[in-house]
Amino acid sequence: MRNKRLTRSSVFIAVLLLLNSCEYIFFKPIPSCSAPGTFEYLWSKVDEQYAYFDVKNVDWDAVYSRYSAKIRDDISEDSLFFYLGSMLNELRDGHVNLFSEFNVSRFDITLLGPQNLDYRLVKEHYLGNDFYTTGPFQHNFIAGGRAAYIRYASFSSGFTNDNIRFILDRYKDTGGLVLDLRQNGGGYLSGVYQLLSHFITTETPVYKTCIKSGPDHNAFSDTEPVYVAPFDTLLAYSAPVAVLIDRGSYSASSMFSLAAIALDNMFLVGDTSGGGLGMPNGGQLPNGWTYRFSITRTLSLDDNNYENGVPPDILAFLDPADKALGLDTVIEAALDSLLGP
Amino acid sequence: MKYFRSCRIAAILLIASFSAAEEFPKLSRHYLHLDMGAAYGNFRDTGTSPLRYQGFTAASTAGFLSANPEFRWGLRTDIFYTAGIAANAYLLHSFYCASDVFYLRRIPPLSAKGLDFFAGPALSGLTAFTINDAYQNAMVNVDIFSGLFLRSQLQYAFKRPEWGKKLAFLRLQRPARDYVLAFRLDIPVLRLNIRPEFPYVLNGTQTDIEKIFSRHFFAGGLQLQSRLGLTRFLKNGNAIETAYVWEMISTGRRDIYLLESARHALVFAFYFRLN
Repeated sequence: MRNKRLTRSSVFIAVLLLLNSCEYIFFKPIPSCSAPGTFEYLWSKVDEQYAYFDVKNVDWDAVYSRYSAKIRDDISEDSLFFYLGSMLNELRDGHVNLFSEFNVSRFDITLLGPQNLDYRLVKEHYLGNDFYTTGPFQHNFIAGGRAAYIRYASFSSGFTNDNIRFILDRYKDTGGLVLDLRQNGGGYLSGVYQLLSHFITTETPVYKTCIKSGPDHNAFSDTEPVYVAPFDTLLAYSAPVAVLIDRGSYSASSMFSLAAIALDNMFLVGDTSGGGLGMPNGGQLPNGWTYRFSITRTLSLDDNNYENGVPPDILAFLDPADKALGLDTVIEAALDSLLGP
Repeated sequence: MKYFRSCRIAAILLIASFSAAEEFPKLSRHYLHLDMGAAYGNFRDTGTSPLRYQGFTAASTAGFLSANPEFRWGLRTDIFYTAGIAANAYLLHSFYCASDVFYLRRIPPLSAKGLDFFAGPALSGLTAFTINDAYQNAMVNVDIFSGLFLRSQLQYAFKRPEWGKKLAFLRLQRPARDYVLAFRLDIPVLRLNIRPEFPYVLNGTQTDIEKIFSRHFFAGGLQLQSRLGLTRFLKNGNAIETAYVWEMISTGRRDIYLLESARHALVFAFYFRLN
């Protein structure tokens, strides 16, 4: 009787232990972390999720044929990184990167055009020595007090509504603002909406957006307008605003530029922006490296896709002759429009 | 379709067993239940990574248990945190908050003297937050799982007899003690999941909250939970338990990106008698 009970208990415990370690029976195996396995994984992820094959005019199957021939099992890590990074750069997109512990691949969008900003020139001849620093903004009166210049170098630098209110209140009697987003490489999208909210009096559609919804290259969600609500309808700044951009105005700065097109009191001056209107998604490869690429589209309200750059209303480039005279050609073009020649 | 039909049949059976309950016996013991434990967990969400993150888990539970020889019911809330490592470099933080409510009845045909089999429904909900800054815009994710489970518990009650021995001037004595060895297994009857959609990340280019947070809602997947515990009853009516807990989730074929998670925990539980 005692032996029978002991046997029953032993079987009971053995079954329980078996049940308690069996998750791997239900779990799927991890894909191969070999060089070809990693290449296949990355190529497929981009194939299924990247949002701009048509805009970039890239034949991704042809890219596969070209690069798969170079990926062998015995390839070094450095070479694998080089080929995967080069494959991603075929997309010509600043929001596409491959990250490893020894390198980061990138497509430098700023090199597509001249750096249309000489900050020393701006400091010497526009901001002066007595400029104000309010949060991440540097600002001062220009053109004899008839306009104001505001420099915002990165949307990664957060600000408060009080920062903006102080600045707009200081310049409320000027004929207009020059908001300089040249070489502003982007950052937090929330900053775009926050900044815009001080220049509108009603809830305003600023652009449209959609997101990938399936593996097909053209599979997207419905295109929906994006609205920005006013911060304070009574305090909104209503005088004209010239937004300065160049090829270094990327991502959130391009988003702001796109939104500026939709607002009556804003216009763009300078070079075409860098683009980067898609929101990048991140992930990891079987060998542990990580990546990111764009998975949303942002369109203007009239359905134009400016992923490759938002064009300015007034095209202006720094002129060495103007520079010699202490003039920033782009700021001067903006002032001409704001105040008249 | 077949899945929903089998879910419906199982749900009807569960409800029938619940409604067939006899009048509650009056001598129920109520316990406040507190667990603390450490464990080894693993996590894999193929939406962001094909790799399996593995690491240390800390867990704690608070709950209420009402038990008597014929039935038991209770509710509990678990909170556990896992720091997982993959590829020797990337760190994933996973926070789980789970709660469940259950009602179990003793099944006499499957019980014998000293060996009791309980079964009944358990409703469970689990919210999982994961954070991994290596995934950039996909660094934060929230998954919600809920389900109706068939909970079964097999328990064996035994008494360790009193023991005493006299060694020279020492008198060694061990009093008699009551123990229960129990195994509990939860098998899903109906599972509902709220997971990321195809692009995985939220559409942060939107300002409309509803459109930012649109999610993928589906039924199915597998979630098993088991607990093997040895409970010792104290003279004052309280009890302490040492238990091994195993839990696993796999969101299955209906998910766009498969999620797999498991944990093995060694848990110390305290049951404070309330009546």
